[in-house]
Amino acid sequence: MKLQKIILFANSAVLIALVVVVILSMKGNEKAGFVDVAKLYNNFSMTAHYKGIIDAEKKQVQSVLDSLNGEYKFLAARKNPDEETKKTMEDLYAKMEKLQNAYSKRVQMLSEDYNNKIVQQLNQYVKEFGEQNGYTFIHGAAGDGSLMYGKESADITDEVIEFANERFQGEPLNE
Amino acid sequence: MNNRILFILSLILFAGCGQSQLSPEKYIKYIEDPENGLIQTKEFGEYRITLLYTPPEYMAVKRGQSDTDSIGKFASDNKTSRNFILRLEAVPKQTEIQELEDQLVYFLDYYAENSINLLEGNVKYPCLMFLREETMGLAPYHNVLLSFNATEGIKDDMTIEINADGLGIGIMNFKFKKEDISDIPGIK
Repeated sequence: MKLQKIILFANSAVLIALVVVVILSMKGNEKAGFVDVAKLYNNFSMTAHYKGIIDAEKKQVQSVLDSLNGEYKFLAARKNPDEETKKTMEDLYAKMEKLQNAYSKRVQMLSEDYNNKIVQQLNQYVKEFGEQNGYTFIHGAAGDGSLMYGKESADITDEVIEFANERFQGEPLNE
Repeated sequence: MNNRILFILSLILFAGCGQSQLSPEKYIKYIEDPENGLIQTKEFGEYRITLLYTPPEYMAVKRGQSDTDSIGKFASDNKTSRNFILRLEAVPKQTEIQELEDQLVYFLDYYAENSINLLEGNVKYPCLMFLREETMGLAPYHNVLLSFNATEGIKDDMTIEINADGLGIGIMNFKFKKEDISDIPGIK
C-alpha cells in the first residue's frame, strides 16, 4: 500500500515536471524581433513613390514662384517707380504669398494623407511577415524609448523592408 | 534492365501528360485555387481586394462552352486580351458597414475605371473594359470584370496596378507570374 502511494506520488511529480518543462520550452520558442520604424518607413517603395509626387508638384510651384519673383525683382530694381509699378509689385507680392500659403497647406494635407496610406500598408505587410515567419512579437523601435534595447541579431528591419517592398510591387504571398 | 527504365520513364511521361489536361470543371477549380498563383488577395484596413486572372479558356468554359474545339477557337481569338475579375469587399472592424459600402460604391462609380492599369514588361495598358457585375446589393462584395488589350500573347509577368486613393489605401500592385500562367493546364 505504502509502495503504491510512493509510485503514485512519483508519477504525479514526473507529470507536473513534464508539464512545467513543456510550458517553459513553449515560452522559450516564442520568436520575437524588432524593426527600426524610421528606416522601414524611409526605405519602403511606396514612400519614395509619394515623395516623388510631392517633389514633382513642389518643382512646378517653385517654377511659378521663381517667375513671379523675377518679375517682382525686375520692377523693384527701378529707381523711381510710379504708382502703377508699385501697385503691380504689391499685387505680385500678394500673389506669391497666397501661392506659398496654399502650397504649404496642400503639402501638409497630402503628406498626412500619404502617411496614413503608407502606415496602413506597412502595418499589413509587417503582419504578413510575422505570420509567414512564425513571429509572436515584432516590436517597433521608433527612438522614443518604447524599445530600450534589442540584440543586433533580433533586428529584422532589412528583412521586413525587403518583404514589404516585394509585396508592394505585387509579389504574391507564399502561404 | 533498359526496358524497365524505359517503361518507368514512359509511365512518368504518361502521368505528366495526364495532369496537363483537365476537364472543364477541374480547370475552373485549378484557376480559382490560390495555390496556383492566379488569384491574389490583399487586405488593408477595412477593405479586402481580390484579383483573379481569367484566361480565355476560363471565360469560354464560364460562357458554357464545353467542347475543346470551340474553347480553343475562343482562346485563339482572344489571345491578346488580358482579363481579370476584381472583387472589392468591406471588412468592417470599427466603421459601420454602410459607411464603408458607400465609400466603395463612390470609388467604383467615379474613380476606379481610370485608376487601373496593366503593366507587362515595359508597357502600361489602360483598362479597356470595366464591367460591374449587377448584384442588386444582395452580395456582400462588388465584382468587376477588367479587360486589357495587349498586342501579343503573354511574354512577361503581369502586374495590375490599382490606385485606391479613394478608399484611403493608395497604390496597390498584384503580380501574376509568367511561370504560373505557362503552368496552366489545357482542357480535355
